[in-house]
Amino acid sequence: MTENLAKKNTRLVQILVLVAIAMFGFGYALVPLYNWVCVDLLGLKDRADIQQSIADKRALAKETVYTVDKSRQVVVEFATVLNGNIPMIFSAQTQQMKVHPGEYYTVNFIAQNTSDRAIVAQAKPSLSPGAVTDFFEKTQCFCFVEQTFKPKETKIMPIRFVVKPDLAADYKTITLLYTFFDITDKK
Amino acid sequence: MSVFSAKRYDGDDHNTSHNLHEHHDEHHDDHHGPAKGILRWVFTTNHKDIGTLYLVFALAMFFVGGAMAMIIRAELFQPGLQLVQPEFFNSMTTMHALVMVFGMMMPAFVGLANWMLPMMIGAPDMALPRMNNMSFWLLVAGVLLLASTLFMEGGAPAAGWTLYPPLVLQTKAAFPFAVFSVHLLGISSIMGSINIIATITNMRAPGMTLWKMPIFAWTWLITAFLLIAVMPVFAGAVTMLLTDKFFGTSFFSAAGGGDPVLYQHIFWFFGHPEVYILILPSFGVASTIIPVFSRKPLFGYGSMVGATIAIALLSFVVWSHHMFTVGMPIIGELFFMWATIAIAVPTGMKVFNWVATMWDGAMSFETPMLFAIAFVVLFTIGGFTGVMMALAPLDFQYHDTYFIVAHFHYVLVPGATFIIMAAVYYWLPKWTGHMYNEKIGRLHFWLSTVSVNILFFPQHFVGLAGMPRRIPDYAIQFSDWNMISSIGGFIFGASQLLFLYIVIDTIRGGTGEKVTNEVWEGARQYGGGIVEGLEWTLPSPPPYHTFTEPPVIKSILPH
Amino acid sequence: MNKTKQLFASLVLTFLSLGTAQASNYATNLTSGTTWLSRTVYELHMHILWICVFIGVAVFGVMFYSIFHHRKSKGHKPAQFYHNTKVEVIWGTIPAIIIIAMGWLSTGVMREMYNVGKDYDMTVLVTGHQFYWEYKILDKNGDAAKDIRFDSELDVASKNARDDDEIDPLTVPNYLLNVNEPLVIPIKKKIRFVLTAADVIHSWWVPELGWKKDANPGFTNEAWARVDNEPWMTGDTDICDSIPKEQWTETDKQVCVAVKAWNNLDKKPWSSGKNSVKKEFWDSVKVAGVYRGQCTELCGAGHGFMPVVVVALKQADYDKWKEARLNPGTSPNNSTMADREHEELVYKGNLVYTAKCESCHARDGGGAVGPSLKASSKVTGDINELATIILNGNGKGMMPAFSKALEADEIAEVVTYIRDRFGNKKDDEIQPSAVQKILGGQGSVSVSSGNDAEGKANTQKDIDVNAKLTLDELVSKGETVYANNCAGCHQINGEGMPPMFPALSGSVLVNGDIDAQINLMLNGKNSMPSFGKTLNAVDFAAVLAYTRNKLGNSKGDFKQPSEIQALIAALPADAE
Repeated sequence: MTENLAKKNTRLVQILVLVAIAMFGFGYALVPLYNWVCVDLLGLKDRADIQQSIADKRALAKETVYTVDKSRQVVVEFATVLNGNIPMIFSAQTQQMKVHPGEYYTVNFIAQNTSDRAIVAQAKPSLSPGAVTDFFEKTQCFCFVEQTFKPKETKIMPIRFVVKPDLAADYKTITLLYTFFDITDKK
Repeated sequence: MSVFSAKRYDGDDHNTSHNLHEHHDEHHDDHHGPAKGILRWVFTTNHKDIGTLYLVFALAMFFVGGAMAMIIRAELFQPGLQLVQPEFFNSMTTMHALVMVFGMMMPAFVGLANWMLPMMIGAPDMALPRMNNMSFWLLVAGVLLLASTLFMEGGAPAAGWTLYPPLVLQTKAAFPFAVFSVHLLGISSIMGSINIIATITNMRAPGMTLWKMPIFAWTWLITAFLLIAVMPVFAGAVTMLLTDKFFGTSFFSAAGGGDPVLYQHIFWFFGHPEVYILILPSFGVASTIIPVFSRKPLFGYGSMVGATIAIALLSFVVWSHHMFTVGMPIIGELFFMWATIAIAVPTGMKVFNWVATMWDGAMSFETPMLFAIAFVVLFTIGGFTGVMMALAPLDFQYHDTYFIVAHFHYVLVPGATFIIMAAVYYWLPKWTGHMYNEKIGRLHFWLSTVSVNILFFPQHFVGLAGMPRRIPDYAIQFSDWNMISSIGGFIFGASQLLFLYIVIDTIRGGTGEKVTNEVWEGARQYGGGIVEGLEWTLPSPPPYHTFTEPPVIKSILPH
Repeated sequence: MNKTKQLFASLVLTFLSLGTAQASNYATNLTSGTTWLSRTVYELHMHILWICVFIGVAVFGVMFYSIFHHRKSKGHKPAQFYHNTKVEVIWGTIPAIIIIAMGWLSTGVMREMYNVGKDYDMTVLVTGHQFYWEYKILDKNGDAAKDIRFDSELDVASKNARDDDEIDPLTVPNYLLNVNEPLVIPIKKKIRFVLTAADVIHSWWVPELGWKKDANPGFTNEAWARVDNEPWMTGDTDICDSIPKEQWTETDKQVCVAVKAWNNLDKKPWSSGKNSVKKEFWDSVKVAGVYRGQCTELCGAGHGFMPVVVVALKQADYDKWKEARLNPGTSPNNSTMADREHEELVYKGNLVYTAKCESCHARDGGGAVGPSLKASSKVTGDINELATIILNGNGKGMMPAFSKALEADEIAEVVTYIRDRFGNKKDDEIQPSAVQKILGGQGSVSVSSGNDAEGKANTQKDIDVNAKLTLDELVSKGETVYANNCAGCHQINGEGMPPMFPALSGSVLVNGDIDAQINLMLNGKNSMPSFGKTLNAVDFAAVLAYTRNKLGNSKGDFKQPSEIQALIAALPADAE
């Protein structure tokens, strides 16, 4: 009876410890799950943006040809943010472009290290409204790439993009925001 | 013989522990009466001793966390910064929450489980006594580690108990210690849960089937599963924070392709079930006490258990209602809104069952019953505000305001904490063999109940009127309600000294009145759900070892 | 004593019902706000609240009936029922139906709330910082020069009252809910807010707009608001007087009190910075609404101290505001020579710095085109010398003279500011009067020696403004002038340093109408200094020709020095 109970307890404990370890793993599994559920199933904009940017990077310069929709224009606004008082000047060369869906455009972003030390920075894009993410394709991008800025160095970083012609006509303005993060300390 | 078993005894368990020395066992001493001195408490594997340790520890932490709350309320007594600096204020709100959740409420319920579960299901002890001892001391280590961060350079964590990045990554020296402390607390509660599951699964007396178990055992069984499911997830989340900060990973850093919002998802995947970890055992205690003092069987045993299971399952799919404003797609908002309001149905069913239990009973209003009734009423008020903020568009106004603060304090203070007090009043005579002073008990109840409402009700108002939570100073239009709230807080805090006095006084003899085995009229009949309340068949206080011989299970239902 | 009375009143009120009239310190309910959305949310809130109250009364009513009647002390004998499937099904079903109704109502509101970026009139970029909000109102036509960007942080009065035990916060108007400069929006326009953050997570909340939204670093969120439908939206707050106070609804009270307080406020804290619009502007318009909120996501020690203030104006007034905000010079001069507190000087210096200095010396003073202001001996040295440099520029270098571009008080503010910030921590200040003295001193020196007029004349005399020069002559002369005066910002090859300093090569302006370029060079704009008083006509004409015909441009046109001279002469005399 007692031996039997001990065995039962041991077995149960083993199972439960495994469950606990599995749940610890599940916590980590939530990371890819989040991408999968939020991006693929729910279309959460910013995650999609990251995925897309990473994918874009791989497929650089592979430009699909779309039929250009000359009948309408979409306004693309460019905005920039410097994270955590990083000593840089950063902005888009033009603030806004009126684009025809289907046509490729290039816009330069200019960043300057204003400090006397080298800075390693990395940029992250974000699109607003979220729903347009699927219709905004970048074929050249400076996101998620480590950029080393020598002291006082200025860099011109182009992005090339297209607004897909199947974007719903409701959307007249898109805002593309780039945030530069200082990752010098992480290096 | 293995460490994973508690031996059953042949002897008469109704005797005191002295005559148990004959049962020598070469392995360890948990089969003896209590050892003498401090070592008894350090090495004990006896479920009653460990239950006591947990409860005493929880009581101590109640006052530590309470002191922090007093600092918060004192600073908020009037506009302007008077007592503390904002950074320290933030540390106080953070530590208050962590201490109360992980140091007070969870240990208190584990303590109640340790003391009562074996006695309620007719087992001689917990299934895994040594693990039991270890999980308690890990808890102490975890909480002490957490408390030590108060004295570190840069102060204790000040990013809120939710530890959201990137803010939490700005924590100075305390950061890794806070993370390790969470690890220790997590391991401790997982061990405790495994123990409870093993006890309930394998140690029930013959005839005590799952569907005859007292509701308290049911709720704890479900809670233990919740704990095993979510504590590791929390541990994982803080581990990711740790590697983000020190080892260059980018789980939550947007720069490296991570997302700070992902942390919130993982945290609340833990955090929401965690809330039910605190409240499900409360339901169990309420369902135990109300029938006894109504002198009627619990109404709807089956739907009570069913509702508990439903709430537990739903708790896994509602977490994002804590983050309606982070910018989710509308489909996410709507899914989590609908899932959340669905919880109102099983929860409402529980409240209706309690009312039906009282209905047409013969109620008497000793202190445990008073606290249990206050629990039903005030918890339900917290439930109503819960439904309000579950509606996503409304939450865009309520979120992160004092309305939320009022909501979760209603659920956790006159909710969970009141029911812990009810449980202590209810079982204290059983544990000690002494009766507490009923007059002072009622005084404690009335002071607590009135002051807790003065404390938290006005917070609904300031919250709706626009006062954000976690601010050390506020605009003038919030000043009067805040002053009232603080006064309520001070009264509530002071009233708890009465509780401390009552507990100590009862341990030292109380009224001097000798209590019977049953203690409360009807406890034996109605205190075990649909079977006889087993703990009330034992002497008061019960001997060191009980139910070494399994008891006979008797149904109390009329047919 | 007063506190005791208040306390007593509070306690009494606690036990009164919700609807009782209350003093303004007893705010008790959600605002119905000022947008369609906020009103919808408010109505939903009230419906749900009453449903909850009704259920609560019913359930607790039954319970307390039972508690009162079914007691042992009354000798009540307990029934022994423990189960009733029918009843249990009923009280599972009824709440489910109520819940579905609530969810249904909410779903509709939710969809409306998310109906954002399709059609709107204006984008405001909101960036959360530890611990202030940065706003950028994007120009609809993408003209960067017409963007309005500013930081909005807690006002000085609140800061002082918070930190100083001697000051009673009750005496500070809108304690902790006031900022140095509010966000201004037009009424009856759908405004799209794009929210992000620059460090940790913040959350932007104005209860009257009906929502809050997190600002996550590296990500954007969006939400919208359209201030409309209030009777006050005409901007005619007299209506507040036409209805007796006793008849004000809760909304009337909120709006009228805020608007009247605003319109009666003697000295709006942000009313004097050159870059912000002046007090006179606010006196000239009637605001349609003032809405105050706060950051609602714990963001660190300053979390409680980064309020949001939104001021709504009629479209015409908004346009006036925008004009005044973009061209500070055109708003009435409110420069005052009165002595100021150190705090106030620093505070307003921030505004001046952002407008005039940041482009060269960087936000954090670390320097970019211009030198770093951190630990610079010029900055931390003699305060009068520093003021002099800012007034007169540094001669050969690129630092322009600001004596014309800034008022004396603004010079005082910015001097005090840069000595206080960037780790310089000089705890001193220069008062406007002292700056005026330096200016006056220069004046008197030049007058006494007769140098001013003569000097000016000399520069003009040395050269012959009436000589006809060929394009080649002008261009070759212009190269030197360009190198000395323009290349610092626009670069020697004319590529500039966009976005701060536009390229001249291929520039629309340089290749466009020549008069527009002359006008810009004469008067300056934003960071571009005015050269009308610093270059003589010949140099001016030379550099004009150089930019239009070199640096990759070949416009072919130019102006003779004599034509330029006429324009210089026509410039308004220095205001005294």
